[in-house]
Amino acid sequence: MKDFDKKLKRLQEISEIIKDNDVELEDASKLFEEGISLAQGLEKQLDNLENKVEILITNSDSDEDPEFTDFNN
Amino acid sequence: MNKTEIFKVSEITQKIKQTLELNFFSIQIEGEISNYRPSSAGHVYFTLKDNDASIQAVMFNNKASQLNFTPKDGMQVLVSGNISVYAARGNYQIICNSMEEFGVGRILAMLEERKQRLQRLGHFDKKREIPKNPSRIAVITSPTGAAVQDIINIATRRSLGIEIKVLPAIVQGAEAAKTVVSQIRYANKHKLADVIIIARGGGSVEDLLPFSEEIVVNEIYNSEIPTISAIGHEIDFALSDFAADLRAPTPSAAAELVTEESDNLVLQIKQFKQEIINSLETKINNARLILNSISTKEMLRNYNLLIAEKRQTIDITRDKILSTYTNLLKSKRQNLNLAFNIIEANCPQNILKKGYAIISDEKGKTIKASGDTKLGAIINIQLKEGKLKSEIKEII
Repeated sequence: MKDFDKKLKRLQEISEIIKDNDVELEDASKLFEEGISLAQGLEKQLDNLENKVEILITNSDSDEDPEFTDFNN
Repeated sequence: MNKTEIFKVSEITQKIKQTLELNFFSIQIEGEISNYRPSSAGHVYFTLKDNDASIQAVMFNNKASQLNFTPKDGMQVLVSGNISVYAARGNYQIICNSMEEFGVGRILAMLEERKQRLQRLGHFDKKREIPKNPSRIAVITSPTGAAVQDIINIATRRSLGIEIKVLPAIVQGAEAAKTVVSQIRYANKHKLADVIIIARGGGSVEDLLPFSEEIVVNEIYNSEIPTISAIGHEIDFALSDFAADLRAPTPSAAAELVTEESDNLVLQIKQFKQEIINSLETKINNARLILNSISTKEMLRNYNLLIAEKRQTIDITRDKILSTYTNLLKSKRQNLNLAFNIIEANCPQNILKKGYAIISDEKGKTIKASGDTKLGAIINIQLKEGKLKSEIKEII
């Protein structure tokens, strides 16, 4: 998530810079392109993080190492 | 009693029977039903228990048939009856004449008393922060209940890359507390998660009692892994709520609490994106506004205005030049007329008109003085009409 956090920070930065009235339209449109592509990338990265749901099948009273199987809803 | 006396089994059993049955006649016992087994004859056998002890109980069909409720495991009851010893097996039991459900009020009073005691022991004092964005959650609950579904649905919808481990537990009745304790211990032993959610859907006060058991409270208190207690609905309470690091009003709420952070992340990105879009739009709109104010139409209008102005200036100037020229011409003409008049006035013809004459000698030279001629000379006299030739007779 390190890369993710860095990108998120840059996105935040861009949203601050672009708000500034002094930014030239040309620069703003470059920042816009960068920002939107960053945001889309981050959203995709989040979408790709898979959730995992498992259920313990070992007896918790035992000394066995835990074993899990997919929890079927 | 003589210490050296030797009893037969039946004799001592008989003595115990007498002691117990005489001393524990028409008594009342409160406890929790477990191992409830109705027989085909209509008698009901069960065990009455609390945290530290248990006693066998039986209610015969003539009494059992008068019950206005169906006893079940986990139910808190108050029974009245007599202790009896069953000699053949050497065990004692209570033969119940009546049984009533332990009133909710009494259960709550008991819980309150227990709560005070555990609080004094400091079991409710350990409040750690729940990790902001846990990647592994252990859910101790019934694998078939609604609570586990609620948690999975909400957590997987809101969270990203979360790992949910369901640790199955019985959530009702006599065995419930024990399985919950065992799973908390197991999760800690194998470090199975960053957060443990102990969950159960709503139910009656008795249904939720396992989560108020002292062994459960103790285990939660001892858990290295931070815990969230999510028992029943908002209005329900269990002592696990006080022992856990965090109480969630419902299992769904527990899932929301542990996924808050990642949910925010998605929102944050959306927000930044929207801000960037808005900022650029604002800039473009501003630029458009400025552009519009200097549109070609406007420019053309301004240009035409300018041209008209110039045209007017030209017109005025031309008029000025024309009038100046005319005036000049007029004045020249006047001068000319004047000159003409003078010239006309001085024209010899005009002088002759007045009766003057021009006298010249034979060679045509004008005679202006008497010395210019001599006696006897012939002179020419030019009149207005006609000419005369004359001789000089005298020079005066």
